Amino acid sequence: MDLNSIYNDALDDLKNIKNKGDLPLIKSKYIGRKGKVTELFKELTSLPKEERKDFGQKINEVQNKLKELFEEHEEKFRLNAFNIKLNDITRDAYPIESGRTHILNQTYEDIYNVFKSMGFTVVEGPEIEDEFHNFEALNFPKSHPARDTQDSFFFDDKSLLRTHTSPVQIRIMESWEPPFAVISPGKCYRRDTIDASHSFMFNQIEGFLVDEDIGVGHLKAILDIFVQKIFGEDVKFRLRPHFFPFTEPSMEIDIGCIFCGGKGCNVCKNTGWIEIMGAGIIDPNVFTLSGIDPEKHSGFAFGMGVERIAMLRQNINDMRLIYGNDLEFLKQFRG
Amino acid sequence: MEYSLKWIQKYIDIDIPERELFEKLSMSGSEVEGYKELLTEIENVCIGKILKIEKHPNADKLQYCDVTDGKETFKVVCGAQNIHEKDIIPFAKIGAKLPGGVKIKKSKIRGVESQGMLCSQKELGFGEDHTGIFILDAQYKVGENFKKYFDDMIFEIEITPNRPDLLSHIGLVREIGALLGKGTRKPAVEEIRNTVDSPIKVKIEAKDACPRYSAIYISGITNGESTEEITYFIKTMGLNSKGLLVDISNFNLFDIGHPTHFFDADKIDGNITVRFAKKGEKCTTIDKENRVLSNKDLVIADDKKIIALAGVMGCMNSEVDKNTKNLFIESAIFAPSYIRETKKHYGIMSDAAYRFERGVDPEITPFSIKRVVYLLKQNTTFSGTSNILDSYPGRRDLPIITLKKENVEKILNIDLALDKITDILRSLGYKVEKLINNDIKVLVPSFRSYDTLREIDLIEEIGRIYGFNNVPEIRPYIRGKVRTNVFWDLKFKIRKYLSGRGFYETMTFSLIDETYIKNLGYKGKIKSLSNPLNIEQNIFSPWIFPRLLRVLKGNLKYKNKNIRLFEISHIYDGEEKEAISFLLYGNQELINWRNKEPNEMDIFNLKGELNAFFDLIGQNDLIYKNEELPFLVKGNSGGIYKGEEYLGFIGMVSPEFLPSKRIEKPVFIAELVLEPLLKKGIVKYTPISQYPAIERDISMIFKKDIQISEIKALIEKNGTVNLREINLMDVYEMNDKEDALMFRLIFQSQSKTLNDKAIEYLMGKIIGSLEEKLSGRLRK
Repeated sequence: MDLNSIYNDALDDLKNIKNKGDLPLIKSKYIGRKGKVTELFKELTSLPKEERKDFGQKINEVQNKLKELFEEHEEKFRLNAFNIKLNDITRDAYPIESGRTHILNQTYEDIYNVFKSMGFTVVEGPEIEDEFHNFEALNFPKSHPARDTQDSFFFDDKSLLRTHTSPVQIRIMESWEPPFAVISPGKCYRRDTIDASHSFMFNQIEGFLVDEDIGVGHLKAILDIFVQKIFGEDVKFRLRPHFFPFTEPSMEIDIGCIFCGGKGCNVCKNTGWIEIMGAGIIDPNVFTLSGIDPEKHSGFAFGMGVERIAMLRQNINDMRLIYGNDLEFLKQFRG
Repeated sequence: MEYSLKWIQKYIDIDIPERELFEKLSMSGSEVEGYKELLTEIENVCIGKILKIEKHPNADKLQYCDVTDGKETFKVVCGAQNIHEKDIIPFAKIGAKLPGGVKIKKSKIRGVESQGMLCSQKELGFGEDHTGIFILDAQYKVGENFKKYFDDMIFEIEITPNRPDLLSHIGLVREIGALLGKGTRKPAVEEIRNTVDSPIKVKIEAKDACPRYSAIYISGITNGESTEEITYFIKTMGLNSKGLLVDISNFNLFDIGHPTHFFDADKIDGNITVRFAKKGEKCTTIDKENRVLSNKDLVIADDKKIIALAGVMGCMNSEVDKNTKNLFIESAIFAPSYIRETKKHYGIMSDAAYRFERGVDPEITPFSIKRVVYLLKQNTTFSGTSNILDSYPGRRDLPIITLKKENVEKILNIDLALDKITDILRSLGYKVEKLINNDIKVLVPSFRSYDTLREIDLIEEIGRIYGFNNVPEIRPYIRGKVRTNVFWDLKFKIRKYLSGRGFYETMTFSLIDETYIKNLGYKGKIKSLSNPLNIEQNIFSPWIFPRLLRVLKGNLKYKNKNIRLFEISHIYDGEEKEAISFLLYGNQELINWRNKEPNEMDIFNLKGELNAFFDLIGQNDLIYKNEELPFLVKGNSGGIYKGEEYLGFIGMVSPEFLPSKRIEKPVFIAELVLEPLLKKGIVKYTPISQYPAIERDISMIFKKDIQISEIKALIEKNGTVNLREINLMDVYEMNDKEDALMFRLIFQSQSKTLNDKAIEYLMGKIIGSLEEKLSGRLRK
């Protein structure tokens, strides 16, 4: 067969090609290892010497031309496969739903990050506690009115749901050697009926640091960092004396009202201040009860309601929303 | 406790604005939680005097009075019948304002002009009495503004359990005196003269529970109505007048903080004993409750009966009444723990018990008697008083504390001069003596002997008066081991990941109702509350998913939504542990313009989510087993294991257990304990293969009861390390007994290119074993 008719056959084949998949077949039919053009090279040896060079060149030309054609066709098929349509980019997307972490866990994380960066370790404890860790070791004597402020849920076997995260203080003091700095987050339970600012289940973050010669000044410095990071650099805070059985002296921490800037409004009851947590210097009795020498060591502790922090920062006016788990509510907090 | 500013001002002159006083109190530990001004709405009401009363010319029931404000005389129509000429009354002139937006205007009543109004207590907004005009004593000066005498501010302070000494007006006055550096006036008392002997003697049997019992016998007394001042003051404390004797006892309680008890002496048989009740003894307290007592209850008894639950509530059998002639007044101290026990046991909230359980100044009892006798003398008549009877078996020395200046500095981080320290303590009533070496000897006053027992308690006193806000900040250097809590970190990693996958994290209550859990078929251990708030929340939840089902129910209002939930929570199923639960509801994708009818999900959607989640946290070798659970659809549920360890389950919830009929699509759930999923340690790099991956498909027919996991395990075993992946590509039902399955295998070696021969060898082995062990046959 002569070169020209092979070439023409190849062109015909290409013209009639239907599927992309046929292309490799045609390709190998002509320029594959046993292709018609390739076969012609074998015939070169049987030609007179003077014709060989000339014919060889011709076969080469045809082969290269076909290669080009095949590549062109390949490219054409590839581009056709894209099947590009004219689209209006303003048309709706195929929806993809994003989820959310819970608002309280977002708050937990923000608070945790503040203390983590300072070198505090996070430790969680059990929610089902015993009276010793929840009350006695924290200097709440049996039958003392201080227990009235923390009305507890008891189980049939006399264990109880912890009323605060402070039992973790005791558990750590019983097992670790000072110095240490710990924050302890978690759920707590008190027999409060649910309303806009109470819930029988709530979340607390406890923090405590035990070392030598720790005083109110140290507590104040740590709280300053906390308030600045969580509420803003310009927010003021104050320490107001209070009472807790497990700290002496005890105080409550107020921040300057973030709603009215201290001028007085409904939220701060016209005082210009909003309470955010309790704090104090760990009572020597607590150290003694958990096996730490109060003559040698001292420390501070603080605790706050996570709901309250979230509600203040994110303008949530009813605690029931937080536990309502309405997706429209949860969706607003992107964390 | 609530306080009346007017009451406070009887004992101390306050020359700063109220708001400033409240701020000082708050900043020294007595937080003022709120206050209300009594007469804010009243304007232009003065003290008036009725000069003349005539009948209204046109109405029988009305009177026509001449009233003066000291300067002019006004003609006023009045309907009340309790007025007389020369009465002093509150008079609202034309233009006056009364509570509730009432404005007094010139008006004609039955044809006669009235130039103002005579007011009742209720019209003035500080009482309920509207039966007649508020008749005042002669001490009120005609013409003065009514508010001058009657305006008051009621403010509430949160008294912390360590400060029972503040539970009275005198107590708070003492504190205010220290804060303002001002002197205070003492309440007037009557020195007692023995003019009659007490026929009643007192014996204390329960000496631990009653450290002191003082009393007095008063003869020939007349009970009667209280003055309007006493009535007013007890009303500010929320109490109504119950006759002079009871009112004075109540007034004294809020005045000096000591609960006394007034017995009708003629109702007492013989002598009084302070003792514990015998089990089964009965009494009827003045709240009309019949009580059967236990031997833990401290009582006051006479020779025949119980006459009071000591320090908690008196009994009806010895109550004073309008006929009481002779009085026996108890002025005692009861030990807090006993009072608390009885109070809690019977659920009695009384002002007396509230104070005794916190601790009352043991030195106050004779003073309290003298004060009460003074008040009685001011308000009524009596013929004789006995001596003060006083047994004091529990007398204790007052605490003496050594305070070291260096410890003040250590805790408060301030360098206070010794004089400043002693000044602060003295202002609070401590007696102070300087010792050598900067030490101070401090004698605690009796009214603080319940809470100030240690050096640290004194340091607190100094701190709160000096002001914690004046303490300089010192950034501590945080020492000690840096411990990382990998489990906490894992939970946050999970939260972030799942929210990225479209899951919403919920936080639901860990308490749930036992019936619901049992209906779901729970058979494990239950931790039930002995004092639940309600039966809907009476056990600690052993599962999370029932709570997620309720969240789903609550969110069905959002139609055409896919709902994906997860929650991490503590559960109790024999032990407390942390678990994670997932819920999936809806379609494969959301309805959109390309796909108006998306496919429903099935169990493998959730399984896929779980597997991706397991992969993220480094758990690639968990095993699923077909298992049945009572609340899951048969044939659509399974257990999840790590080796032999059971982690939890996955499945489709049986429709009868769905909490709402409006749930119309299948709900898929999974729940796993979390801790075994924690992978510790840092991942080390494995080299990536440089050699080509080769795909091979196998199509074989198996009996339906052969599980995919068995087939895959066999393929894996025979495929050697060079078999990298096995994916199920097709399931085709041949008949009701057999399925044709297609698996795609991917082979890849870490060390060489696998040639056809090597692959064919492995394929042969795999197919051979499937034929031999699982009776599979190649599909033609």
